[in-house]
Amino acid sequence: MAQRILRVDMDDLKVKEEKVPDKYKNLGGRALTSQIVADEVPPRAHPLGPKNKLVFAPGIVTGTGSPNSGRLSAGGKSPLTGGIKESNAGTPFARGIARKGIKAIIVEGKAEKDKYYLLKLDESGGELVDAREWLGKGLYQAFQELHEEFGENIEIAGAGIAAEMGASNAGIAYTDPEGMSSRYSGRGGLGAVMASRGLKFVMAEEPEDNNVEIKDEETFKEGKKKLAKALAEHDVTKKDGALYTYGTSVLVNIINESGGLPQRNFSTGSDDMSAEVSGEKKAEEIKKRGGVESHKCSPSCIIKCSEIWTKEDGEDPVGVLEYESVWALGPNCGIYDLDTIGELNRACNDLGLDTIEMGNTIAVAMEGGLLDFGDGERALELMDEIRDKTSLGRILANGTEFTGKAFGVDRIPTVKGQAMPAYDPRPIKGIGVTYATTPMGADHTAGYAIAPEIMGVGGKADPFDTKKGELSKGLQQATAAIDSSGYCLFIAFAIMDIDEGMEGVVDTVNGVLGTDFSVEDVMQFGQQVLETEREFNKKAGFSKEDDRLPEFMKEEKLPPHDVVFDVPDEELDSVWED
Amino acid sequence: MKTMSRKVKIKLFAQISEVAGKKELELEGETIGDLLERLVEDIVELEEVLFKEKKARSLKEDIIILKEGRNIDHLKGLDSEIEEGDKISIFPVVGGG
Ligand code: SF4
Repeated sequence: MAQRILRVDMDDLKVKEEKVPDKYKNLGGRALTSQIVADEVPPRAHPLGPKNKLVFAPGIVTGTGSPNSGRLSAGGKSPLTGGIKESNAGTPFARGIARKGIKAIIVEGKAEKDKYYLLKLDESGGELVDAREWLGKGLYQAFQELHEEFGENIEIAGAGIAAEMGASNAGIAYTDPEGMSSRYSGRGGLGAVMASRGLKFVMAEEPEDNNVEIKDEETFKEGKKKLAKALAEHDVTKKDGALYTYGTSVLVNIINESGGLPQRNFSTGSDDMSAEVSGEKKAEEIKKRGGVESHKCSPSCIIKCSEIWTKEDGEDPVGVLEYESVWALGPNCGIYDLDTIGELNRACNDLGLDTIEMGNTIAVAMEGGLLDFGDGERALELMDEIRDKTSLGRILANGTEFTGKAFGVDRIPTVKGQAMPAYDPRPIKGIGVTYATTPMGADHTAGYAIAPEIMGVGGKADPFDTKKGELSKGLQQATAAIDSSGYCLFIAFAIMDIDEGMEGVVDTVNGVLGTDFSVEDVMQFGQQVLETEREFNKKAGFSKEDDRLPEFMKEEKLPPHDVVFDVPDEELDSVWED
Repeated sequence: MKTMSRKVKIKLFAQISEVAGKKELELEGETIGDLLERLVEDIVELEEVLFKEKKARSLKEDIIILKEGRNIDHLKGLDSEIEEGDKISIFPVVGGG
């Protein structure tokens, strides 16, 4: 079956199939969602209004048997940043739609007020059915009920209670391999874009026949082998490596020891208490509780960075507890207890909220006096305010900047309206350059300078050195390409150090598309994606003055290194100037 | 010139602490190199974890050493001098995000 684009018209509730236009043929993932958004959404459109669109696109190699290829991009105009957004997730849902031969799903228009639908993808395209019975229900329960009603094998994308309120911090949840709502296109409020169209869920069952076409099997196979070998060899990604053994939160200790793990709303970069929520501690606890240690977000992964967190008695699995979530809901709020963090994470997964944004929101509310730092119990009550859609809950669900304003806080760690992840940019300057200059708003994955600055992977860079424009730019280009390929960004650890791995990625992409891209073309491909995104943002009203970190980070020294963010504005501007 | 040994706290993480069977210890030395020599004398299992070869003392690439939160790669490597009370943290290369 030829690949196709599904256009879901929420105005008249019709699903149309379209041929893939030539200009989109060699695109996938982020490159495709960003291109479609740039082509079809007016940059000044209201993010929740009828002119915005939500686009899903699996990556180029998604659905093939290549390792770590189970990724999906969601894109649209972000209610959180007001700019273009791509939010990447690993989920079996990605493979499900890729194997149906779907290159992209474009959701447009708006259903009648207060009507919500479930899009059921089937052989003939899809149909929209009433989904109002799931309004106001948590996503764990909703996903379970959907499985009961439509079969265990369905994969789901869903918008939660936060999205029903049009909240800027509403993400899109996807099924993990256990069927729970723990995988997320979390960042940037795309869940609200989905729900504001009247779309509550998308459901797909993986077809028996794999419709992902591989144009050049030979090249593909060769590439797959090279990539698998690189992943098996590299210290970070190999079996029994740190990611496999401790999960992503193995980073807690090293970032804390480096003085860059923000605590209590970015007021210090290190606290001995952080060891209580480290990856080592978590692995130890999981063992005690009899949980599954290594786990993957999507079927093709061979790195397995995840693990399932449960309650103390080993019951009620939350899903994964990622580094970012542990930090945001933990140390950044002065909370150093994995069980409390686990329950806060559960609430985020259930309500359909991004954990990074939510943790920052709570921390800023703590700073504003709504609750004390460290008060996990009260933090959990706040999640119920969101569940009950109270006025306070609505404020909180709109994210860090909104909440900061509501509580008169002047230390708000956001860029372009999006809250920062788990690395303070003052002692780790390169990641600060990425936060400032990516079109996405503060986002570590957009150009992960932590690899060279802290881990010495992909070269070694002194985190204190302020000349980081070029480093961040190169990482942003490579990332934009990987996010389009369908590969998990974590393959970057291996392919930055092992040339054959990079060749493997390019070979598999060429194999699928029948193209002859070279390794050198990768950066150019990424650059084009970034230019498309930047152009959209420019038309939406952004200028280089928006490529800046918040004022307090330039004024307030961060202990223990007692440094400010001192990368000059010219260096930040150099990222996008030729 | 008179040199003085300084006592510092060494913290071990992830697989390194598992191999060593402890998370923390105190040792004396003048440079990071000295300290590591004493460390592998104390805990012989760490020798092959930390060093490439027995004789030529060069660190394995997958080891990260911080002195007071600064990677010794960006100081003077194994020759980085230590001061009384410094905190030295030793990690295997880790990833995540
Ligand atoms: S490494 Fe982690 S995020 Fe990447 S594909 Fe595997 S489980 Fe998913």
